[in-house]
This record gives sequence, C-alpha cells and structure tokens, in this order.
Amino acid sequence: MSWLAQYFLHPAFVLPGLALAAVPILIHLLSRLRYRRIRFAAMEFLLQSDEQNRRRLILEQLLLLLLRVLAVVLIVLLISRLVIDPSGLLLLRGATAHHVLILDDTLSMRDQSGSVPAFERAVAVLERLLSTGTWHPRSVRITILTTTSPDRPLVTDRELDGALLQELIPRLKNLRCSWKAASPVPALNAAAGILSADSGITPAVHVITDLRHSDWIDRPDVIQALADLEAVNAGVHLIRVAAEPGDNAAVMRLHSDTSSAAAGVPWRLSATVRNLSEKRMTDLAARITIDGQEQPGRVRIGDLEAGGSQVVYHDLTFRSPGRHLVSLHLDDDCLAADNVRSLTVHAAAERRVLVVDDRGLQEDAGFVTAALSAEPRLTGIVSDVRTSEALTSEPLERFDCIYLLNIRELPADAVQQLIRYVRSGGGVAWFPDEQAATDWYNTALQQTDRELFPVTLGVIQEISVPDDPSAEPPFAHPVFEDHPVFEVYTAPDSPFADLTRFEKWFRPADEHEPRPGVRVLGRLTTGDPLVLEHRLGRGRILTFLTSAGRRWSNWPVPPAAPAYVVMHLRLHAYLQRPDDSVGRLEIGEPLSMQWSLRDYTNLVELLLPADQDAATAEDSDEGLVRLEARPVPPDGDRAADDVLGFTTERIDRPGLLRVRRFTENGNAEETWLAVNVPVTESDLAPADPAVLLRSPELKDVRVVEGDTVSALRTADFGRELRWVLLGSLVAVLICEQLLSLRLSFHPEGRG
Amino acid sequence: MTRDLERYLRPEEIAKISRLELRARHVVEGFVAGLHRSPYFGQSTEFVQHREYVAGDDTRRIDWKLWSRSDRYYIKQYEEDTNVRVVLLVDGSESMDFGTGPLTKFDYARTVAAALSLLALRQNDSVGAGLFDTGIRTLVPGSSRRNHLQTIIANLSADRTSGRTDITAVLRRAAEMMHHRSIVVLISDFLCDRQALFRGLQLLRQRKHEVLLVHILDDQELDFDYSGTLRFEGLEQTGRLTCDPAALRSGYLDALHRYLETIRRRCAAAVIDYELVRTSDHLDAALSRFLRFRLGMRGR
Repeated sequence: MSWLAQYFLHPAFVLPGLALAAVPILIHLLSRLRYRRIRFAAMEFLLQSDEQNRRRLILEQLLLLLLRVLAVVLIVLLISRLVIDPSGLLLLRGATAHHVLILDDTLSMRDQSGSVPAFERAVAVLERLLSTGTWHPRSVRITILTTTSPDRPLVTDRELDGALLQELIPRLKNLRCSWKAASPVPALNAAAGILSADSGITPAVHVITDLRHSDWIDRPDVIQALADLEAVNAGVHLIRVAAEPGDNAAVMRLHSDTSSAAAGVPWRLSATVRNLSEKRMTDLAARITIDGQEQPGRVRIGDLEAGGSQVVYHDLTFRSPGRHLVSLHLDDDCLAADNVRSLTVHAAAERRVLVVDDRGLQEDAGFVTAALSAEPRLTGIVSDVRTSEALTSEPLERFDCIYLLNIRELPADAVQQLIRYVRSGGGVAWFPDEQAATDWYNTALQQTDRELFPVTLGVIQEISVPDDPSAEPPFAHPVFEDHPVFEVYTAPDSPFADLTRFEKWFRPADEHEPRPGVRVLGRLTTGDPLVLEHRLGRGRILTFLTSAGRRWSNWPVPPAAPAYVVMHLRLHAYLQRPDDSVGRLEIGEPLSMQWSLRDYTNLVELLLPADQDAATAEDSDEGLVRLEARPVPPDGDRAADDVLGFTTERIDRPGLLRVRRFTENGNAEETWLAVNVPVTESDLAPADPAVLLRSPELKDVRVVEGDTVSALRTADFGRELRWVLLGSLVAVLICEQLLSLRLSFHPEGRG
Repeated sequence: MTRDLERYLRPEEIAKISRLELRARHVVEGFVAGLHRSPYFGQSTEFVQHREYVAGDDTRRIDWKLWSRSDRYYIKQYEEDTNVRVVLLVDGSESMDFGTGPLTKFDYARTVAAALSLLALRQNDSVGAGLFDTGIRTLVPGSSRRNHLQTIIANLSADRTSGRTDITAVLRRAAEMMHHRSIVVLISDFLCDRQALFRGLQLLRQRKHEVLLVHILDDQELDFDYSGTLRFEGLEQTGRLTCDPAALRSGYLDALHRYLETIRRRCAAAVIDYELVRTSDHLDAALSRFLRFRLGMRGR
C-alpha cells in the first residue's frame, strides 16, 4: 500500500476506488442474465440482423464497457488526487525526473520544540524520500543541496538507486545542522541553475525546511527565486518539518562600553536579551562564565513581554591579565544555540598610553595623564609622558593610542612611524598650540593618501579681553555632535558644554568646507570647528584645534574638569587599537586580518571552536586550520609587500576562535575571537503558507507537512494533471454517451 | 355518427366485442356508413331497399314517389347478380398468434376475413373461407346465401393457431379445389418460405384466379421498438436469441424491408394485389383494398 503514496495524495481511496471499476462489468454481466422473454414471430429478420452485426456489436459493447470502466477509473484518480509521477510517466519515454532536494540546515533547524530537533526530522524526511525514490531505478536523478552551502552539494545529479541510497544513508546520519544563518534564495537559485541546464527532464525541487516567517514572508527575493524555478518548469514542494515553536529567549547582543580591560579593574558588560516567543516570560536570569568558569551570582533579567527585549549590565573583574572568553548563558529553551553569547577580552596588566608633549614643562601632558590614569587601579591605564623623540625610539604598537600635545614639528621618520602605527589600527589625538609650525602641519602631514592632519591650520583665534575688568569675556563654548567620545556633553541636561570655555583656538584656513572623509565632531559657539575626525588605514585620528591644558581653555580645571576626565577616558577607548579591544565574530562573517610583514610571517593557524555537537571529547576536534597569508594589494604609499593578510569564511561553529601568528624568530602570538551564532535565526515564528502562496507569480509551489510526505513526487504540481484528468473524464463521458446513443441504449423519441 | 363509427373501427374497441361476427358487422357497417357514395351497389331489377340520399348519389336513382309522400329524398337500391366467387384463406399458423396490441395477428386476420365475407355476401358473391397452416385445416365451401356468414365465422372462430406454415401445400391444395375462376384472398403474415409462396401464387395465377394478399404484421414486427435485454423465442420453432434489441433494430428493419420489398415486387410482377396492414390500422384499409379489387373485377 505504501508504494501508492508516491502516486496519490489520498492513497487510501485508490484500491477501493479501483474496485468500483468492476461495477460496470458486473452491471453488464447481470444485465445479460436478467432478461425478459418475448415470443416473436419474425425471428428470421432478427437472426439475420444478429448475424450481420454480431462482431460490430461485440466490439462496440466492449468499447462502451471500456469507456465506462475508464470513467470510473478517472473519477477514482481525481478523488485520490493522482500526482504526476515523472519517474513512472517519463520511464515510458525513456527520460527521468530530476529532483533537487534542499535541506535547510540553518541554525533555526536546531529548534527542539517537538520531540526531536527539526533538523533530525528533516533528515528523516529526506531519507524517506530517497528510499521511496529507489522504487523506480534509472528514472530518478537527485541533487542534494544544503541551504547554508548551496555551492557544495552533497550529491550532484546522481541516478537514485539502491547503491546510492546505501552510500547516502551513513552520510545523512552524520550530517550536522549548521550554526549559520542563510536565506533560502542562494539554494533556490542554485537549484534553478542546475535544472535549467538539464533539458528534457521533469524538474522538481523539494525544500525541507522549518519555513520560518522571517525567511519566507515579505521577501521579494524569495518570491523571485521561486518564480525563477517555475520558469524552468520546476514544481516546488516546501516540506515543513518544524513543530509549533516553544518559548525562546536569545542573547541578542553582548558588549562593553569600556572596550579596554585591565586585570583587577572592574569592567562593565552589557547584554541585550530578547523574548522571541509569543508568551510573556518571567523571572529570566542568566549566568556568566569567564573562560568556562562560572562566576558567582546570576544576572537578573526579570520579566519579558512577548517580543520585548531588555538590556542588563554586569560588572566583571579579571583576576589575571591575558585573554579571556566571557560568555553569558540563558537557561535552556527550545533553541539552545542562541542562549549563549560570548566575547573575548584582552585584559592587560596595564593599558599603556603614550602622551607626547614637546612643551618644556609638559603641563598639558600632566592634565591628560591625570585624566587617564589618576588611579591606575580604577582605570587600568598607564600614561607614558614623553617627548616626540619617543615616536622613533619606542615600539609604538605597545600603546593603545598616542596623544600628540604641543608638537612643533616632527622628523620624517617619526611621521612614517606614526603613519604606519595609524594604518595598522592605532589611534592618534592631536592637541596643537601656538608653537606649532603651521607650514609643516599644512604640508608634511597632509600629503595625499597619508594625511595625518585633516585641516589646513590657519591663524590662532583669541577672545579679546573686555576693557571693563568686571565684564565677562565673550568665551566660546563647545557644541558637540552625537559621538561616543563626547556623550558626556551631549547627554540630556549635561551642563558641561556651557561650563567649558575656550579663549584660544586655531581657525582652519579651509574651515567652511571639511575635506572628504573628515567629520566635524564639535564646533565652538563662534562656528569655528573644534574637533575633527578622520581615518587613515584602520586607525582613527581625532584632531583638537586647541591645546589640552588650561592655557587656552578651562577644560582641565573645575568646573569643566569632570567632563574632561570622562572625555579622555572615552577618547582612549575610542582610539584604542582594534586588536586589543573586545573581540567577537558572528558566524557567517568573514574573518579578515592584516599585519605588517615585519611583525609576523605569512603562516597562520586557526584553532577553530570545539565541535559542540561531538558526542565525545575525542570526537571534538578543535579543528586546526593552517592558512597562508598573502600580500595585501598596495594601498597609498605602502609598498605592495608591506602587509600580509587573509580572509576566511571557514568559521562555522560558535565558541573561542584562536588565531595564531608567528614572528620571524618563531614565537607564536595568539588573537582570540569569540564566535557567536547569528541573531537572525532566533525568531522561530512559522510562515503562513497562505500568505506565501498568495503571490500571483507562484503557481506550482506547494507547502506540505513533513509528516505527510512519503515519496518523491513532482506534484502536486498536479494542477495540470487534475485538469487533464478532468478533461479526459469529460471526453470519456461524452464518448460513452455518443456510443450509448449509437447503440440506442438511450430511448430516443420516435415519431 | 361517422365519428362514433370510426371510433368503433379502432381495433381496441373492436376487441371488446368478443364475437367475431359482431366485430365483422361493426367493421362493415361502419365502413359502409362512412362512404359518401355506395360504389358497389349496382343497378339490378330486384329492389332491395331504400336509402336516404347523400351527396354524390346518382340523382336518377331518387325515388320521387317516396319523396312526394315523405318530402324526403330516398334512393332505390337493387340487388346485383352474383357472378364472383371469393375464397378467403386465413393463416392459422403459430406465428399468427403474435400480437402486442389488443388483437393478435390471427384475431385481426379473422376479423378481416369475416368483414370481407360479410361485404362479399352483401354483394351476392359466393364466399368460401378456410384456415391453413401446414395444410388447409378447414374449408367452408363457397356460397352466396346470407346466412352463410355464420358458417364462415363459426369456422374461423373454432380453431386456434398451431403448426408451421407450408404455403406450397396450401396453395396447391386451394388451386386443386377451385374449379371456377375465383378471387383468392390470402390473409397471412407470410413468414414462410418465400419461394414456396410465390410458386403457390404463380399456380393460382395460372389457374386464372385473381389473388389478393392481405399481409398482416404487428406494430412491433414492423417497428421493432424494443429496449432492454430480451430473449426472443421464435414461434414455429424458428430459434431463440438473447440480445439488446435496440442494437439490432437497424439490421432487423433492413432485413424486414428487403423482405417486404421483395414480396411487393414479386406480387406486382405476377399481377397480384398486395396490401400490407398493421394490426393497429383501421380495418377499412383492407376493406377498401378489397372493394377496389372487387370493382376492378367487375370491369374485367
């Protein structure tokens, strides 16, 4: 009986229905047995007629009987919903059907709302489909794709037979659901490409998926991809395998406003948790682990309305310097994968900042140092106050960022070092004063593609002192744009902008037209720009057109001093070299790194996150991947072979990723990255098939439940077949009526 | 009056009258009354009766004396001389027992024979009648006496149908028995051997007899309007067949019409009058045919 399921949507009706096909035969036989007797005189004419017409009558009666049986059979086929069986139909023509099976292996398929994860149900459906497909050897060809890797099919255009099935079953058993997010579009397009190149076959596409709303609804690209499949005459089955989704909360974001961390210094972590279910969730809490060690106490999240989210904060202290993996864990729900989110933190023993001050007393540097590291145990920052000679004598990579205060002029090699430092991600803050050699600033620092200074320095603008000593001079106050460095000024009701007064500043010669790539972050109330930001390579440069001390403003002294401290701490965090900040990566994002050839060789080792699906520790291969970095194409004045880099998309599971690079003398240095699952897969809300199929472009797309699918079928792309059956039935009935009339089984009016 | 009589001429009405004589009289009286003019009462010296004048009558035959007494127009009717011998041969074989209407073919044939006998006796013709199947079963010798009708009717009523038709023997026997030139009226369904039939008819014609064939067939034999699965069992052991008659109707009718056409053509060739009569037809068809034939005889 089960073999009927590949041909019929209602196979239970088939056999009883076909039994009904015997009814016309029985009626015919019974009518031959039940007759009236007539005593008749003119028998000779009747016998003559019988003798002349016997053969024709027998043929006509058999034809009539056949038509009636055929009519019953057609009705049964209609009721049972015969589906096109390309394997069967095309076998007669010596052709085959090509089924492209797309297995949704995105992260959301890890949903465990039902008794088994959706992915396991999908694999079971796939196995079932394949096993039924072997019933018609040499008539079915298959291609199996996965949603996350449509360019790497599991099977490409192979004839489905017992041997292939035996080969596939173990592979399917070992198949793991990915941790990736993926749209169905690439897989659908890949299927269309495969089928369009395969002429003379009956194409069919089966997508075994959880059919999430976010993947399928309101997605013009999905509709277009499905329409493209229809354009190659492929029927599409969307086989839904997901159960009704249960409760699911997810950690949507994990980050720290303070990206620099130091051992023993409190470090604030913030996490965004969202309730993605349709019910209110109560008393949510999370736990924190550092390097796998659970931290005391739980992070209380509280109640979350359906669809609501909550940002929670938690302070951590790293006991030892070094790299740490920090994770926030929610309690288990139907999708466990999105309950964990991690980041890596490089907690230095101390964060070092180079403060270069070329003014004799270095008073300005004192103010900056006081702001950054008045108490190193609280900020973790150690300021190194030096003159500009340090730019060539010290390895600049040691420093999170560099403050350049009161620089008159720098030697060319120092400029080169600075450029290299910034290009590699370092941050620089300029605070020039009246001893600045304007010509040098406007020429040596502003060469094309290596601009260390973003503006042409003009004259020093100074507030004139009023004649009346009791009158308040018309000081200028800063007005800042929304920017992380200046949040203390732009926060609602913040008094600090008004409390900060500037008496002197540089007016740029080209103030009215900032150069391309230069952003004005703050102006004075006079309209003159005060702070500008631009980028060079991977690094950031913030240029303050005033000094950092108190000679030109009251910035570092009360009442403006509190904001001055906060601004410098934020400035340090903002300018910090990215390699040393919080590290995280989302699965699906390419990992890209670049470094100077002088720092590391071209050999890179990736220690991939542990396989969390592995049954045993032995199976949990960390996955050591060796890569060879290649020279990065030239950029600006940098030589072509200066920089090495690599980009890889092989990071496909969450956890700790360690990137190991080697110096010339063979020492290995590691960079840690926390690999997290994509948040786009957390919303498990199912798509409404009616909404999806409402699109007028889609005619041969069907949504079926995985439980009901038991055979490879191209229907019910069977609309055409239904019409064919219906048309055949009408034709058969018309023929039957005409033949009946011809045989005069219907009494006709005889005058 | 005429309408009433026509109503009584319908076979189903006639069937209600059990006695053959009554049926025959009804047929003849009705037939005669329906005629506008009496074509067969000739002039003679022997007065028979008066009859009210009807349009078309010869005005010379109006009895003016009677008109003067009654102020109504009557014409005189006279008895003609008997100079024709009529022999009615009715098929009494088993096939004549078939009928789907109120009358079987045999009933119809006997009624026709009785009516013709009455009609002929009224013409003072000598009428003889007999039943035949494999041979002539009974034969009433010819006579022109008025009460001879009862003898004929008694003879026709007495026998039921039986046996097969051996038309050759019948006609040969009839030819042997008739020594004078006669009108032989053969009333049958003629479901018999065609060659034998025509051989017999040819024999009669050779003996200078005038022959009139009254071919009686039932409606269903002529139309074959059966439906459903039927088992036909032939009368006179002509076989049996289970079939769907509708499917065979066309072939049946073709064969029947070929057969009728053959009879008609052969009769025309042999100068034999032929009349096909349905059992549902009014009997005046047969009677008028006989009268035309009879008038034709007078002219010969």
